Amino acid sequence: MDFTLILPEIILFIGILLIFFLDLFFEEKSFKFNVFIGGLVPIAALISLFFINYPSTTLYNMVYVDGLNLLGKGVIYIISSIVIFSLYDYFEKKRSVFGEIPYLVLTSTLGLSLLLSSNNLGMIFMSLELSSISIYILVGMLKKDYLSKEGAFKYLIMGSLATATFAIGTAFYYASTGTMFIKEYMQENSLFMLSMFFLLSALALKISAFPFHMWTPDVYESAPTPIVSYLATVPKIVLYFLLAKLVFIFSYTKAWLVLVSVIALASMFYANFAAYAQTSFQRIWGYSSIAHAGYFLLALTVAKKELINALLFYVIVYSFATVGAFTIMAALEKRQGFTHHLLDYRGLYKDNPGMAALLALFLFAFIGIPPMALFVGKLGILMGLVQSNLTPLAIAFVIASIISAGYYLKVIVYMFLEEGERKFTPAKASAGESIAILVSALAVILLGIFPNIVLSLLKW
Amino acid sequence: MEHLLSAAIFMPLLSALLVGIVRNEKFTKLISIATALVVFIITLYLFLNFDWNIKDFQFVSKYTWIPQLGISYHIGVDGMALSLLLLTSFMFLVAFIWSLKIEDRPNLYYALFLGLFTACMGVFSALDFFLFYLFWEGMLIPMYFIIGLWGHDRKVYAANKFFVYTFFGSLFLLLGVASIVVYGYLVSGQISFDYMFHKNLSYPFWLQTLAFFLFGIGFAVKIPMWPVHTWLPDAHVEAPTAGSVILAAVLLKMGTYGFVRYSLPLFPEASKEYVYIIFVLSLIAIIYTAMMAIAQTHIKRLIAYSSISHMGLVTLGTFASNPDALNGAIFMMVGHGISSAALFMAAGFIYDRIHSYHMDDLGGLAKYIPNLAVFFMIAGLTSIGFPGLAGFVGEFLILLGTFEKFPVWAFIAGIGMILSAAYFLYMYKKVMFEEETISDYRREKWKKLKDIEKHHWVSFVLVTIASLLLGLYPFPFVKVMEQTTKYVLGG
Repeated sequence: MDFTLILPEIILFIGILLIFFLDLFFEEKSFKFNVFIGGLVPIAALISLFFINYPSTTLYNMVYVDGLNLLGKGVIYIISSIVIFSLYDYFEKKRSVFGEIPYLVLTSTLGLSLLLSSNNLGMIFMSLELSSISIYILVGMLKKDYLSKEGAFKYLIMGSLATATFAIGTAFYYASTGTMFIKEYMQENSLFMLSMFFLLSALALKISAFPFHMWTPDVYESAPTPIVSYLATVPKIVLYFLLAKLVFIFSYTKAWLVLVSVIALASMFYANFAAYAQTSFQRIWGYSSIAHAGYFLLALTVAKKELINALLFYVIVYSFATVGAFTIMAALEKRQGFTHHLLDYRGLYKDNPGMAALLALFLFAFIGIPPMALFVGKLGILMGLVQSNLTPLAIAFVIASIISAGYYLKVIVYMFLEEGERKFTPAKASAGESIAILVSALAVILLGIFPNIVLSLLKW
Repeated sequence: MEHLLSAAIFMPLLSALLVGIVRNEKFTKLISIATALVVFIITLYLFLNFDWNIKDFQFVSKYTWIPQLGISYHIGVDGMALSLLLLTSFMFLVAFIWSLKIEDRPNLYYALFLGLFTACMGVFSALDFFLFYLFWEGMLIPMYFIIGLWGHDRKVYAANKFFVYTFFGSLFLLLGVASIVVYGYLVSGQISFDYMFHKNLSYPFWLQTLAFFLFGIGFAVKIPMWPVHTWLPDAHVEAPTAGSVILAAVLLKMGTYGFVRYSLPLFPEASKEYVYIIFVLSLIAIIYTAMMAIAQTHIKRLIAYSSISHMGLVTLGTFASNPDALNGAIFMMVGHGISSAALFMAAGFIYDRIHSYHMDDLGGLAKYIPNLAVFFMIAGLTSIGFPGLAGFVGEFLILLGTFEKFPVWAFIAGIGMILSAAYFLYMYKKVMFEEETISDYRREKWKKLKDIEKHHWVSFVLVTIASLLLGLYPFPFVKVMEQTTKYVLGG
């Protein structure tokens, strides 16, 4: 039994226990210190990745490690770390200090990290639940805030639905293939089709694709902002890594292409139009993430390595941009009376030129303007689609991107080109928030200019 | 020598970063003008060292950049690109000198212009599709903020319209790039964004058609061609003077440059097949927008429409598949850059002094600000193609070349030239003469008007010298483009 393969998970687990005990004895007094330790734990796990020999498997094939999922782990550790560093000031200003926050984020990361290195649907189910339950709690972590509880409840209900669906899908998968391991299965029968259908539905719910998207804007609006930046990125990266594996099994079925394209098209067009009707910046982000789920699913329509590589690159840089944007929003939200209504963003540039400029950078990145890294992701998916003879989907992607430019621009217009009416005190980013913003801004720009840093790691 | 071109491209960006760090107004202005001057000298040096007789790209540097996608940092220039680089650096120098007196957030203003500078230089020297697209889109953000932050009353509307139109066009361009790159991959098994690689491939007709239209939409929005031209009058009307100068002199040229650099050599058969579509659109642009210009009472809008009309002539010459016409089209890009810049400077000066662009509020100005009247006249004559000035050579060559194969089209285009004289002289009369139409109150006010100041003088003298030089001694410029023309027309 080779335990070095789960070294990062062991480190995460020890870190969780450590913070748990610290919180037990010092309670809220050591919150800042706990957060600091919590931010260091994923970094330690990240370093431990370099000591792993891959590819190899352990724990009766339940855990396997290869270059690809090590890359995934590396990215989610970095993002978890910067999210944890960034969150202490927000919860202190909101008077909602709970000692559980840092280690709940870590348990979620632990679950997702296990999910990445698992090839067995049972194991995947368990680790997905470990992560989801932690996030349900985190979403409701604002004291005396009705909306936060409502969001958490909604997320819990919808998430449970996904859990049930996933379980049924797993059952059908076992019934048709006779194993829980994800491996090639070339036959097409009704049980296998059902399992594909249910697993896809469950994952579509988790990545907030169209017919299952209802929870997204509500949760984005009501959850504590640093938690949104976590739940909008880390679980999604991992689920796309999982989908990248599943696409190689399921894309043999005839229904896959139709089903995925319909979900993708519906997501991006519905969300890009609905986003125009929103007045809250957080809800706009919610719809933007639904639209992006559509873009990402486009890359999963066929099993093609170029497409999958483009997708994974896109998801990674998308996550950095999202973390950056949400951290800026968290820093703004700490001010008294700030509500994320678009009107509150008017004249932001006058009060906080630095933050407005960085937020604009992320927004332009989302529109897909080079040299920001999201452009390379878009280009990769576009080329992959044309390469796979799916030019109509590529054209739809382009049209959806043009439509989406409008609502991102709207926010930029409010920030830069209009005068504010309400006066807020200038926002100050805490040290942790500054780190998170800087790291993500650097990642978005550097990976845009030198995308081969990540692309060279995407080896199969 | 090897890195001079790269230096010319990226020096403005470095200066922009410096401006952002130092944030001292005097330093900002000094370093911006110094940068533009140095870049101008570098491009001039390259121009003088350029070998007219070589068909290939010169001053080439090529480095692997993103090997997984076949993307390299590949730059180099031919005669056309070099002339446009010279125009770009010259125009930025003029615009920087013109804006010396700006008071509203000068650091950000100059930093955005410097960023725009790098993007413009990059577009004209990139030999890799990815790099080209990077610079092509890179100019969007600075220009958006230049219009949006320093514009006039309807600046937000104009900035958004500019952004959405150009973004719409560039995504089609991107789709076109993706389609030819994928085709290159399918036939050769090698994924490459390199221009030279694609120049050596020959595409089947269906792909040429597809890519011709996808590229064409992208370029047409930028030029702008009728019917996607409507963003330009709004953008010009609302933009600050230096923004209009750069927009008219440099940014519009990117589209026609794209046609000459990409559409003609890469899709030759499609370019021949669909030439009448371009011709019809060009002629509509020439005649219809010239008539629109006559109907304007807003002087900046009038100049904007005249730009569209002149760019119609450039697209006509580009696709006439005749070396003279193509030479003329490239020459006219430079000539129009100079004339439109001078016209926008004159209009901007009038607005600075009188705070109106409307002909109804103006009149009889020649008596009170005579120096401006002189420069305005020279600019206008350059624009309408007065012999001896920069505008004439290009227009003449285009009409001459087009006449050989398409006499009727050339004749109709010639009408546009007459119209251009009509609207310019009409505007000049309304603005500079007709003193009797203005009220006594205005006359009193205008006695106190200050004529052009030192930095205006410098800018105007620079463009006038350029106009005279190009008009009286066009030989080196035409000569330098000859090889490009041969190369593009497959000679």
